[in-house]
Amino acid sequence: MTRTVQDPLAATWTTPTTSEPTRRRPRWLPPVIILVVFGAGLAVPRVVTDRYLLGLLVAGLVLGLAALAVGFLADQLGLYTFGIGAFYGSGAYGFALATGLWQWQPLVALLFAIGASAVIATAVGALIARLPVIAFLMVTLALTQMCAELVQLQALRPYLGGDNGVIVSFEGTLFGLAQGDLGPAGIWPLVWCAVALAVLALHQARRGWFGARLRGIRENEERMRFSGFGTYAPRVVAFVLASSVAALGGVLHALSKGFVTPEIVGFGFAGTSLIATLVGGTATLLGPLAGAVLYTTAQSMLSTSGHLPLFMGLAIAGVVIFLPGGVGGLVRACLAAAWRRIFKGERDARH
Amino acid sequence: MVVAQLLNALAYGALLTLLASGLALIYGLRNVMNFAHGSVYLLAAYTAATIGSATSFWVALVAVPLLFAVVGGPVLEYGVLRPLGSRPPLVTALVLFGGALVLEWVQVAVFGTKQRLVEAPGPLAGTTSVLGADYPTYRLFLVLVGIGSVLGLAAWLRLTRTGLHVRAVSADPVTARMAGVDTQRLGTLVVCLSVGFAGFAGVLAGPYVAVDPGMGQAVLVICLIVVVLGGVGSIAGAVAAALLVAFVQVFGSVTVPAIATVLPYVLLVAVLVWRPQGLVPGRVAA
Repeated sequence: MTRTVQDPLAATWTTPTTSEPTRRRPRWLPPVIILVVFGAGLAVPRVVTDRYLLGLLVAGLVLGLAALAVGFLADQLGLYTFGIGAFYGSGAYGFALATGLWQWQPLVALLFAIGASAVIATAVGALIARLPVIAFLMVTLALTQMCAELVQLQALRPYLGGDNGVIVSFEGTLFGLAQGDLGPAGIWPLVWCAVALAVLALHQARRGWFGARLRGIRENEERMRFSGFGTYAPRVVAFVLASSVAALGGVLHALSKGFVTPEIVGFGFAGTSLIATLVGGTATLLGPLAGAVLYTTAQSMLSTSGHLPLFMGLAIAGVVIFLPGGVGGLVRACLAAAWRRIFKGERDARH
Repeated sequence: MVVAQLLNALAYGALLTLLASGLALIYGLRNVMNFAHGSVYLLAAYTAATIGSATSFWVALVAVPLLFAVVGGPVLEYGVLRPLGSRPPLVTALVLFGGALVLEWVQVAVFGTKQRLVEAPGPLAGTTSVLGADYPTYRLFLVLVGIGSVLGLAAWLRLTRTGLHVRAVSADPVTARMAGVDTQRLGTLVVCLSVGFAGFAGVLAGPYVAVDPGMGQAVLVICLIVVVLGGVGSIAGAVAAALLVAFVQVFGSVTVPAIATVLPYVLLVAVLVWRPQGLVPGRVAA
């Protein structure tokens, strides 16, 4: 039986040219992948038994929380910041103060540290959220340096320890972990869950109407205002969200290191968090995490040679100029190409 | 006592003025915030300390700024700013931040991490009596140099044809280009001038502050505050803000020593609340 087709477009739709239908990614796949990765992550200490290596991974993920925050602001609002160290620091110092000086329960101290950081971030964000890109970069660098000067003030030395920092010690347990259990293997589940929580929160913020509005502001703020959207409040909210994630990183830094020093608030850390973010790339949500792990690894390999600043400087310049998507963007491009090849039988046009 | 503090503030202000006006110049002409400015200053201070101890302070005072302007300026211009000219200003700023790290590595690799103490040269070594109080002669020299360079810069900008072009490009680059101003050549000139100024400030800082590897980052942060306070890209604003920050820091360390180190930042926050566009609004890039 022959079918007459009037519409030439319909003909191309209805007649399959090859026997193989184009496969689409099934809907159930992403949640399953996420659950598998999350579960596998929890088992990492069983695989990586080397204490040093695991410690490196923990440090990388903790720094990764700060980098996630920087990456979120950079990707969604186009605002690069040196200032995330201030909130990483307020989280770390807040936790150390609450458990040490005030003898609070660790869980209460954790919530206090993040809450207090969010309050500070609201005030700071309200002040600087309107600044244009370059001025934002400059002012946040000044603000993070201000925090470094603050914690080193002579008057606060009895509480914050000046440039010696404070030792973190607490009574009781945090999610079943006592102070003595906080080796790399002990703290791993806590860090892994915190990272998962932060990634989930930032992912939700990116995908919904909130992320859409942020990207609208990034692309054309004037047009957003013209179309009747407020542009000030979303920026402040995004800043507070990012700062809270960084504060969570700060608390975990305090827990995993056992002490807090002014180094994590000042100029040096400002550079570190930004470099980790840039190397990982802001185009993907997980890029900054990967960048942070890469950074801590490189740091542990290079810091004895004294050439770390050279490589870091070249890495920033190289990534910014030649690889704007960072390592995350590169991996995503490779995965996408592989996916097309395997499931759609397409060949990369360049080969 | 007050006179001495006043002179202290002026001496420190002179150093900040030299650095901040260089930053503001480059920003006005090239729309670039030079995050490597502090590292250039650091490198200049170490170079000057080395040259100065081998020959004399005066040789360093002439040679180092020239060297930096003639070699460093073109490196910055042709190595970074021109190739990245079509990229967003943020990219250039981040690359320059990377450049700052590289320059700091160069400083450590070439000169080491040891602190250098630079003696003031012969005629400027002692103290001079100012209104009955003994005051270090070298700081008086700094004050004079600072005033001289501000006047010189103002005269250059106000009285010469090149200065007119610089102001024109700073105000509106497109119209200035249409009117026949060679913005490329002017940009190169200003970049060299800015790097030379940072070199000059580095030499002058030697006998005034201790030359150590942290001085670049410290001064960069203060200079960024100065530039934001003054209104980003505004040269007059940068000079005014440099003096303001110097006064606040010097008098703060006498009256409220407990919180003196935080005062410049308090000033920054106050100005951001009160006048977000800066004291003397310049051109602010989006």
